[in-house]
Amino acid sequence: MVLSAFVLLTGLAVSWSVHQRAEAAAQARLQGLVYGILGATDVDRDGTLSVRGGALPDRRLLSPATGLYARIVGNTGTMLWQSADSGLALPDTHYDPIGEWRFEQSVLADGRRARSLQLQSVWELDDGQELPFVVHVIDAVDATQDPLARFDRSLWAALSGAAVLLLILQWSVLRAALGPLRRLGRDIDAMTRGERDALDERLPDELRPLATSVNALRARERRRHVHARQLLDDLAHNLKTPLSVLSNLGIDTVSEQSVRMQAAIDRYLQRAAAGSSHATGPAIALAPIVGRVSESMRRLYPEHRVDIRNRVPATLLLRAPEADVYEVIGNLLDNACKHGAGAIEVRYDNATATLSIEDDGPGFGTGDPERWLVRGMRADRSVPGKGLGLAAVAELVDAWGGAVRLDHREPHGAICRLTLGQAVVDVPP
Amino acid sequence: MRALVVEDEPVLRAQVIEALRGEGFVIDETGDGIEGLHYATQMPIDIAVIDIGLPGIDGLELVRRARDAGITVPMLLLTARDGWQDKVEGLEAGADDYLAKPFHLPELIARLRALLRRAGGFAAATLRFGALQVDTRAQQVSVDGRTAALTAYEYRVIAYLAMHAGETISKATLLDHLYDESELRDPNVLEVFVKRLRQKLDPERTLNPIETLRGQGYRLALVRSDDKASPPPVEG
Repeated sequence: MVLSAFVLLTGLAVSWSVHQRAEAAAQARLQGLVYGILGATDVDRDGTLSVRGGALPDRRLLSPATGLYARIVGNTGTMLWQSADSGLALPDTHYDPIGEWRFEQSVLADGRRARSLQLQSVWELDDGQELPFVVHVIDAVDATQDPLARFDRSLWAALSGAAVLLLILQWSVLRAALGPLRRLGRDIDAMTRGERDALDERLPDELRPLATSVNALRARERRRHVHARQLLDDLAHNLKTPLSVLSNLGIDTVSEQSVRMQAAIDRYLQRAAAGSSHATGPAIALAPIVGRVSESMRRLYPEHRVDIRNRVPATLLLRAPEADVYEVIGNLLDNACKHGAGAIEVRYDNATATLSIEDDGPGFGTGDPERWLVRGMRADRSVPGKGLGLAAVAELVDAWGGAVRLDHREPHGAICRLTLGQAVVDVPP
Repeated sequence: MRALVVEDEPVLRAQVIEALRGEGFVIDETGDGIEGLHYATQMPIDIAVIDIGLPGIDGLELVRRARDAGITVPMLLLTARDGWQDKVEGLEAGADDYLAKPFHLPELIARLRALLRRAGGFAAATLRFGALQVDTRAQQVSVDGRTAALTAYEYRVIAYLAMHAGETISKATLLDHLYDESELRDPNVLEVFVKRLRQKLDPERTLNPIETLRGQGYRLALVRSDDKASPPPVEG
């Protein structure tokens, strides 16, 4: 738009300037014609005015319909002399004070533009009488021959062409210049989705420092995250062995307190894991994790003869820490193996982004299954194990932006549904 | 039964060993991973309890190398890192079970006994051979519902034969699995145990639970029956 305005204003300015100069030149030429006609004019003693045709400054005045006309008109309106007649109605002659010039532009009856210049003059006779008269020159311009019009057409054509070329050039330059920025934007989106680990640093010099800094920042944050989790794990590891010793001393009070300490460690470790459970690494495939955990379940529970059907699409990727995904799948499949009757199915509904794990056991009993999401609740006290599994699952899935729902399965069994929400990277059809 | 305990924390290792000995296990023990691998591959162990965090080589590597060497005895991992990703890695390395720290010793004992039964092809805690039943949880043997008054070593002998029912077990093997390294091993004592078992379990000589294969060893001669519940044993 700026370019268009610039081109328009430039064209207008140039055109106006040229028109002004042309008009000035035309006026000067007409003035010369007036003086030339005056020079060819004679007035005899009795005041009769005549013009010597051979002395006229422009021979076109001698031929009709040439576009150049002149006349000398007395102040009483008497035509004292005129050039070859075109039969065309010419602009009126005006009477001004002596020595006054009048320049006018008009349009003739045949549509041609005409410039006219007239000079109010007076001839002093020998006897002292004055003969006032007006010398009026009219120059008609054929629009097709008008050099100004041709100039304007050429000017606007040239300026328009230059403007289009400039626009194309500008667009090409911008496209080339913004290409790396667009690529950078796409890379950042891919990192956010977990599809990339780092930005491509093959960028122009102006952008490379930005990509390098972002990559360095991301790497630093990831190291810090890993370090923090490692510290938590190490802390837990170093506390749990002494807790084992204390809990087996056979002293009730010590055993009770060590159980409380253990519960606190588990609880706050879980919360720390959930609190840092936004993915900073690449997206991970869920199907192989379900496969590995399923195989582990067959090893742990051979007497249950578990048959775990993994119907998770191989293309399903999750944006979540890998350890947390193992925790969710491990807890849910462990529950299904312990409390189910052997047949377990894990499947994914792409339309609702929901992962469901179903077993054919006794289910969650009567009442609202959701109560088993409370920390410490256990669905089946006859089976050994802690009761924190489902609560921990709910906390982790919530940290991913998802939710857990427990349902009864018909005719018997349990269904655990996880809506994975933002944790899911788009699954190709 | 002979158990290997590999745990680098000495107090915890001592607690586990004491608990296992109380259950009649003979123990090989160490706090080092490399030494633990040596025991696992060189000693006639029936089961192993292995901590993951060990000096030398860690517990996972110990399990992998033992499996690569052809050791098939059940192995239970003790771990402070009880996340499922760690458990899966442990089971994929070749372990049969895991127990997260801190744990209660009775739970450890119960898991070990379950692994031993599984290895012997038994699902229930009580091994049934018709009239003869061996309750591995209570460490009691009953015949036709009457509990036999056995000594600890007598029970170990019959329990080992029952877990390997149908196999011929040499005297040397029995001695390896029933006696500590520090204990005196006398094959003649074994013959005394077997003789007393026959007297206590089969006074009428109608059952013949233990068969002697001259020059080879002993075998439990009874056939396994199913694992359905039977009446609880009565003190005899």
